[in-house]
Amino acid sequence: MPALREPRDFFRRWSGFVSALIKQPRHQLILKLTAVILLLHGIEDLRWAMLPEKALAAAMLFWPGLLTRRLTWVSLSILAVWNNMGNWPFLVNHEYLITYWVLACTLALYAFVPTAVMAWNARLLIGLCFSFATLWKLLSGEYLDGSFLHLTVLLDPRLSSIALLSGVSAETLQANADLFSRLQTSGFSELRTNPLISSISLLLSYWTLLIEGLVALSFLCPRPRWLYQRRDWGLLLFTFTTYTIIPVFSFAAVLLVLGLAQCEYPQRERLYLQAWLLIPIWMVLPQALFYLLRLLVG
Amino acid sequence: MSIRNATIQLVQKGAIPLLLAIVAGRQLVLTQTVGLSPWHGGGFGMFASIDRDEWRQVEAVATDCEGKTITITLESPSDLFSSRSLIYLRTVPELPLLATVAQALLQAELRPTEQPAVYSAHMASTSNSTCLQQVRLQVWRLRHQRQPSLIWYEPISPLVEARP
Repeated sequence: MPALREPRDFFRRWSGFVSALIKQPRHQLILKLTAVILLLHGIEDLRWAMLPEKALAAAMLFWPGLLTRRLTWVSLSILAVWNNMGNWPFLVNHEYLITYWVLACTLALYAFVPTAVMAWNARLLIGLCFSFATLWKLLSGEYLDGSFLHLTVLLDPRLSSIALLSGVSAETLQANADLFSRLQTSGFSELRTNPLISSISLLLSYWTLLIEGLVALSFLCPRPRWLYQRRDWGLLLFTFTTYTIIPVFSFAAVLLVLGLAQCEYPQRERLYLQAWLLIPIWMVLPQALFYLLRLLVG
Repeated sequence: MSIRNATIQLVQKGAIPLLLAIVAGRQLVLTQTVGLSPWHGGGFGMFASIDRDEWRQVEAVATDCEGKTITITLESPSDLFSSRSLIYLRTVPELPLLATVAQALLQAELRPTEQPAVYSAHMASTSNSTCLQQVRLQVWRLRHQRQPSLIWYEPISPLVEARP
């Protein structure tokens, strides 16, 4: 039965490939994945400013000897911090997180046990990042009543699939976008929506708040023990449920690398690594489906 | 463990999380003081607020020497302001920056657009700058009420006035 053996062969090969990657010294794997993120991340407007750090990251992948050199990571740190300081108002959150992680990798290379320093910093960076995200949602005043997500579903094209699935037509979304583009500083506009979007946005708001809060708590507090030991599941659940809908490659990639760096369980390490390697599939495929949906409904 | 080793361990384990917390704390303060957009500045406030910089508006209103009120559009591309500086203005509407932009508009050459009473601003030599009595500049942020779904703008920066 060759047809049945082929998928089995594929999965065996895939498993062997993942095993070979995971067998290498942990810090080396983390540095490699981080270098790939540095090569691929970035903001269109800052492509020239980020060119030196991308070139250095490419060199590290091309000549593996550079990957564990302290001088390379010190240089990367200087470049990343320089870019962050010069462009701080233009950068989005994950650009900051990537810089912190580059700094943590650099410090780890000066440690007796680099993986221990990486694990410690990765756990705290995830915990703090999710803590501030949760804090912002609690304090902003427009998140808890669902108004942030409601408006975002109506106006942000990235979330238009939710609106379409909730029964809002493509014409209505376009009419809302036109209304918004004509809105002046004096006056109001009433957007066209429906009660289902209102309920879904409220539900999604509280789901996000709950999962982000749980990730923050489980990564920062060793007690309760049952939650701390299951922290990886929370992070993976957040990553899959968030970035399949809003595909932000760099954010998902850096969170998965941080997750892998602090992970204590071999099976979960494999899961983090596979999730990282398969980003081009699990992040892109839903977008293709959403695109088809828009074509069908629109 | 020697003091040196203890210090090294402290830096290796504490410096980066502390840096994150300081930057995020600074962002929280700047959003409350100078109107920094919660989406920027490293405070992890994205997807918590509708106050995105690209959803903000910079309103520039001038009074010309004949007493007529005109609106100046600040859209890029413009030879007076780069798109980067306009994004900066929207994202971090600090008073000194608003004052500088208002002064630049005062000395600009204004050209009519397709919309009535709306002008675009351009670099001017002393001979062709438009005669203006006053320029008022303010950055506004979006607000939303869920039921009914109403949107409107509210000032996020003080009103800045520039006179010749």
